[in-house]
Amino acid sequence: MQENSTEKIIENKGFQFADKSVRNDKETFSAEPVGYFKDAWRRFKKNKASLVATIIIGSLILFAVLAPIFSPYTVAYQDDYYKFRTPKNPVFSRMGWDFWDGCSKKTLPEHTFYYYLAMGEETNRTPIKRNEYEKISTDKGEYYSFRLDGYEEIGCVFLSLTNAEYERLQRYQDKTLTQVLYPTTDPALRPDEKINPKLSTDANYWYEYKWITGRDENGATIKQKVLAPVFDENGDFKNIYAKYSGKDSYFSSMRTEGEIPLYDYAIPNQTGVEVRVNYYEYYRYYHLEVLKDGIEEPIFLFGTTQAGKDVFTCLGSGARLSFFLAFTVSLVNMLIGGIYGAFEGYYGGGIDLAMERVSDILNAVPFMIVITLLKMHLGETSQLLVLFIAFFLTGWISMAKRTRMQFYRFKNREYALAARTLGASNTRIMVKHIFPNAIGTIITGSVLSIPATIFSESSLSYLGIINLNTGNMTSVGTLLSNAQPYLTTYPYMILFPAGFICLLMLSFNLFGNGLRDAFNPSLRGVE
Amino acid sequence: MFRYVLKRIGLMFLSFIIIMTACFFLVKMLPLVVNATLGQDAEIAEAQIVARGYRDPILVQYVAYIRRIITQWDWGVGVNMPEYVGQGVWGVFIEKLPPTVLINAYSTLFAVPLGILLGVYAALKKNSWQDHAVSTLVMVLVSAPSYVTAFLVQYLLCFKLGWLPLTMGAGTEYFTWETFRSMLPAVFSLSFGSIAGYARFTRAELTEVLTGEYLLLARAKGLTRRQCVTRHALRNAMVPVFPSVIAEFIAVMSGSLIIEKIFAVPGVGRLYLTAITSLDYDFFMMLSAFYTFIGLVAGIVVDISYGFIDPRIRVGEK
Amino acid sequence: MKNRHKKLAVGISVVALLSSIGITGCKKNTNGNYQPTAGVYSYNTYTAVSPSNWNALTYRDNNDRQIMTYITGSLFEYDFAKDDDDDEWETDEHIVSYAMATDLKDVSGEYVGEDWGIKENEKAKAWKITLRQDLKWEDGTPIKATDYVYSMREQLNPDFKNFRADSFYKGALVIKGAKDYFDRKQTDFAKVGFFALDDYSFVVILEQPLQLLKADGTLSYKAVYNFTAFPLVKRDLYESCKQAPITGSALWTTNYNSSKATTSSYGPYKLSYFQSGKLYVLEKNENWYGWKDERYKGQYRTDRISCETVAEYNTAWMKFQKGELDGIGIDVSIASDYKGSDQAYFTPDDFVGSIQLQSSKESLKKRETAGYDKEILAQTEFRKALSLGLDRTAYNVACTTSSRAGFGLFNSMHYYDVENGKVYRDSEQAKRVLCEIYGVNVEDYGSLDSAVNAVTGYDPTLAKSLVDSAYQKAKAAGEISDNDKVRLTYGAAVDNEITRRYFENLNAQWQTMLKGTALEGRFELVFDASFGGEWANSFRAGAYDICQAGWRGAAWDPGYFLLAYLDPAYAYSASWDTKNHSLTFTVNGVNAQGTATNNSTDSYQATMGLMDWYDALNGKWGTGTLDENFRLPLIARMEKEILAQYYTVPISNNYSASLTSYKFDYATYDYNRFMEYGGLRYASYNYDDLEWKKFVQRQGGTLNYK
Repeated sequence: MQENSTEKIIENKGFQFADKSVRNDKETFSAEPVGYFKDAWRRFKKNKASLVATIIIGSLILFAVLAPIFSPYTVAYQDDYYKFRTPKNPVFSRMGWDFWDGCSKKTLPEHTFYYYLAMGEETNRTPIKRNEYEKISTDKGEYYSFRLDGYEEIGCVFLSLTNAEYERLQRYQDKTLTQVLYPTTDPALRPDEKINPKLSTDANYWYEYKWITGRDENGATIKQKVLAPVFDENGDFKNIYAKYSGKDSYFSSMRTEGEIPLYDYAIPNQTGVEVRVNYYEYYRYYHLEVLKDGIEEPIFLFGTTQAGKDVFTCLGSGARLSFFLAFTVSLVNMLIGGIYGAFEGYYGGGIDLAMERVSDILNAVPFMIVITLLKMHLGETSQLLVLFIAFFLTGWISMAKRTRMQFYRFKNREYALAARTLGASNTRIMVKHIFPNAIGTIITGSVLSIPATIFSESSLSYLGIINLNTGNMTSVGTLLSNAQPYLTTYPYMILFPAGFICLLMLSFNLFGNGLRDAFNPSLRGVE
Repeated sequence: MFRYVLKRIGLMFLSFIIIMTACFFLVKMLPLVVNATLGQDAEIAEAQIVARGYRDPILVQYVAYIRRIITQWDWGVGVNMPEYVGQGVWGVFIEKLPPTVLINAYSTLFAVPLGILLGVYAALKKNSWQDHAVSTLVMVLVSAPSYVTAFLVQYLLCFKLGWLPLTMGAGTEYFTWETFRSMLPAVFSLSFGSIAGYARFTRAELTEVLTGEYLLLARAKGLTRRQCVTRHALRNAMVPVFPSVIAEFIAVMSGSLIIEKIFAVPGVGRLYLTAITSLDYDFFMMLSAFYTFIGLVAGIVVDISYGFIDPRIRVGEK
Repeated sequence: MKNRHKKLAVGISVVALLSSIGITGCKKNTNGNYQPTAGVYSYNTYTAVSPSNWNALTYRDNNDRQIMTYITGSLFEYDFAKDDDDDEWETDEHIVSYAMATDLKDVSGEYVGEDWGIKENEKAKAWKITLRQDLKWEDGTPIKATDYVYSMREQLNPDFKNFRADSFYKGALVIKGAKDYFDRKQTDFAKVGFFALDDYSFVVILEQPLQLLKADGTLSYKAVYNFTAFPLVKRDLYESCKQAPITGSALWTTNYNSSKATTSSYGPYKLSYFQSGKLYVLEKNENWYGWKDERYKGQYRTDRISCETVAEYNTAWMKFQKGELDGIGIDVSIASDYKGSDQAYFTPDDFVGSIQLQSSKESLKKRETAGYDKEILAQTEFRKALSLGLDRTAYNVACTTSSRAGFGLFNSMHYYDVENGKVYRDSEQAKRVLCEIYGVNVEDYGSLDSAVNAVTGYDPTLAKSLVDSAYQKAKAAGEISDNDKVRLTYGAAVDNEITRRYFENLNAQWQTMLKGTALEGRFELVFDASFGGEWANSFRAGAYDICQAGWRGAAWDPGYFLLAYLDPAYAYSASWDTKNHSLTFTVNGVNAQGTATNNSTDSYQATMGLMDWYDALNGKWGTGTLDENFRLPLIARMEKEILAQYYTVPISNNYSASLTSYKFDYATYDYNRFMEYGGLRYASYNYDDLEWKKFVQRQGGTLNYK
């Protein structure tokens, strides 16, 4: 017989009889009353997970508010060349860590490696990080692995400037002693467009090259239109700059050393002149000198999108819009759904059947068709109406169903019957007795609908039904759906938006859990 | 109870008819797009439309449409859908339904037990580290967008490790080992959502029910903790969980658009959206009818199921 | 308590049943799942949209053509010339040879007379084609000339309204009496110029002459270009696929060539498996006449072609890297990594992207609102300023990922004389057109070539002065006042990230161009995507002001392609009255009476409407037809006239980048205008399927194509 361990022996020496006469009714209670919400808050604080969640939500909202303010870029900003850039954190890259430094690890064949090596030779802004590279020989030829800097990788580009812009660039170059203009290449020697349309407009082929087409060991033609550099005797690149033609009066004060006026820096064309500039330096000139918009360096903390937009700013202001949209949508849906569900659940019978049919029909109408029709007939003004339909027309129905179910559960409970027998009006019973019991599920539902709205906004923009990405406005959903096609080829673009929404969903769910337990009156006092 | 069910079925057919007529008139009001490519004779496209009767008044078309369905169960032929021009709408739908249903059925089979187990475990160990661990794990699964989690499953399991094929196998013998194996990545990706959903629901309901007085009574009567939970607590916690299983079944029919696109599943997921964007009347009408019907039937089944689970609830009573 | 247990039991059994079905079925999957075997060469590819109907009479778009190219043959074909020692092909040259046909004869003389509308010594209006005697369908039934006649009759069958019927009564190839038969004006097919003489020869009689033979009697490229389109359907199978009209409709339909059961091949491959929206597989068709023909020795080495429908690019890219696919387009976000790849190749595209500006002044006026003017868009100078205000290079770098600046209606893929490979854009006349339209003075640059290279289409200084002069003219005409703003609507079919990116780039460039002009700060561009699929017809009807649209097609006949910019049924400048827009021009090679003599001493001067010039360019001069090099100056002059209106502002030419797997090689990677890269016909394999599987495993399961 196993001894019953639940029994405890309590000695009687600690007790003494109370003296009935010592009662004092006058003394008021010292502890103030613990109201419903105060108790809920106290229980909420005890739940550590939801506290952490609240902090996370707070920091996300803070990020949404502060990010666009502190970032030099705006949402509408689009860069022509800095597209698909890897994220770059100035602190990490200055400390020399190989993480979050705007570079990506590459293992490329020989002639592509030389293409990047040549950039460094000419402009000593080498895209190969710390000039470190490692040669690997494979059965398919020599490969080099190195860290390629995403911002220097662009190298030089051809630009058409008006003569006024050309002079202004020269003055900037002489004033700041930074070289932006580089000798332009002789048009006749540039890669032939017929063979490869992409290479013919590439300004980084400033060195002599030969097309690799020939026969490999068993006689089959090596098919490729690939450019390999031709080195001079001591292994350096030989340039194919345009010889001095006398037309270009500009003598760059930043002469590449040893160059008497040998090369042309500009070739006249319809716009004015065609020049060859190092894009990184030109970017700094254009923002410091021409636009004066406070951008000094191209640093994109979270990388850039396929349109060259800065993900950091877009995520910040996108988060603002998404939060605003999500809060209003879930609030409105909670109110409508709550009231609608309450009536349905409480009154039951005929009313319930009728109201159920209304929500059935509304739910079944294919709102895709309604939206296409609206867009067709209303033209531009339909944008807000489309948003209304996409989120509000059927958004409240799930909340109504949930509230209706809660009301069915609680409406015939003993305390409700007791209140009815005491002559309480229906609304009083609903508000005083049933609603607090249902509040837990309703709160959870509406809190969870906040991230769910952001998700549905993402899939709606993925399907092309709504587009919040206009001018200076964007949303988290748009960032996610624009990044999806590049998951395999350029995963960085989805990294931060997906991270943001993960954190958001996680914290809202834990917050919802904590809130529901806190608001649940029946859990009062339970440990 | 029986009279209530009969009334509900009657009303259901009424709303079904209203919705179908609304859909038919809505879609027929959209202008039919005729884009002639260079050198293409625009009259042919126009002649086809006229010959199909699309230029008749909408009411005439509606009557002909209904007669065709009732007499020959002929839902019409695909006209604009790029992948199904000239193919019978009902045939295409039936041919493409099994992959979607199977993938969703397997994912529900995989997710429901797992989700409920996790929920119960978390509820029993409330506010302990296990509870937080389970909740956070479950939340992480559902927090990322579905196309990100599906991509990760595909990238890790199929591409990097190569255990499973990247896309679903071809063929209509769905119950062979190769095809089943090729469905698994899609099943896993789909199940994350429901695992998290069931775990959270069960935990929420169970914690609430555990505080009920009758449980104290049951414990007082001498039942062990396990008996209390299974016999009483779990039963009442099922009230909201059961409808979500039914709701899940509706999702089965529509299939997940994104998962089917990523894993190249020849299912019905993309049919509805393509039908609307390419304005294919017959496809759109048939699919709307199907999904609406399933939705309404599921609504009734869910309401009736409450009665079974919790006798105290008589749905529809005053 | 009891019945609750019962219900629970039912629930569990259902679950058990479902899971058991899932596991037990272990038998082998007999569908397309093919295990790589030695000695078999298969080409695995993918498509984003699966073909639905490859019936030559009714196919809709390029997706449907995927299967057609392999299961059909053609009467005449382009080949690579064989070099002298007969083992390699000359991939930069092409020859035209007989394929399913053995002889082509001009028999116009035998059909002179009223009922066929052929005058006495008219040439090239009636052609007799003799077929090979060993042609068979995939199941062995012989193919005869009567099958061709049957197919043409079904193609023109008025009850079906077949989509491709107009290829034989519209455009270059017009069969005598086809239109009347199609419109049910006459029901006797014998009156249509397409009938069989005997089992192996049939005659085609044309409305307009079409010279298919070169001067020396050998086949010209035109034989393949125009006479490939003759459809061939298998009579018994086609009859069984006919579907009567459903109630409420009068249209006959067919599901011929839309599934494995309804398909019959007479080409090198036959359809061995088809699952719509998932996979189709083609295998060698033993009954194809080519396997025994000397001409095809060493060709069609592919034994099996499998094509899976994969809509998601990420999935396709991963399959390619695991060696499951043999070809894929490169997403340009990673193109720079593949700059040096052996397997990458770049193909220019004949698509010309342009900005279309509204041509109807009335619609502009009608849609003006108080304080906002639109009529300034009717000023040619203002439209020219919008064109010169665009830095096309910057636009193409920013907005599209694989395209380059475009200036003319035609690009490097359009040939005015395709037989001798003469590219229209390289001709002197075409270069002059660009210099004159974009205001580049040839003398400033020494040579015409350097002048054309100097064309950038971007001249902000000139653009600003044009805006001011247009503004003054509009003000003088009372159309605009000093406090009016200009608001133009940019329409699109859909409101997504890409259409928004184009819109924002154009808006930004025009706002910068307008700085320092009368309209600085008074110009608004509004985005409106409510037109959906109707965007093209709405623009033509004048519903909005600016859209972006381009044209592709007819790359070998730019003269015919002008139709896209002149005929109000297709042109976006629908309200531009090309009929009465008169043009004075002198045509060489045509004598004073207007008959083509093709000798350069003759010249013929006329002032006609643009549409009349178009008909003359594509029709007949008297009894003769004009040679290509005499048509060129007229094509160039008409391109200049169209560009000078600035209703259509060309802005970009596309090109595509793609990768092939290590498994096989095309015959050449230099684009041949007739043979492209030689296709699967001339492709050679480095690995058979088993070796390829081992090769991929040796690389660790993932291939590196960088």
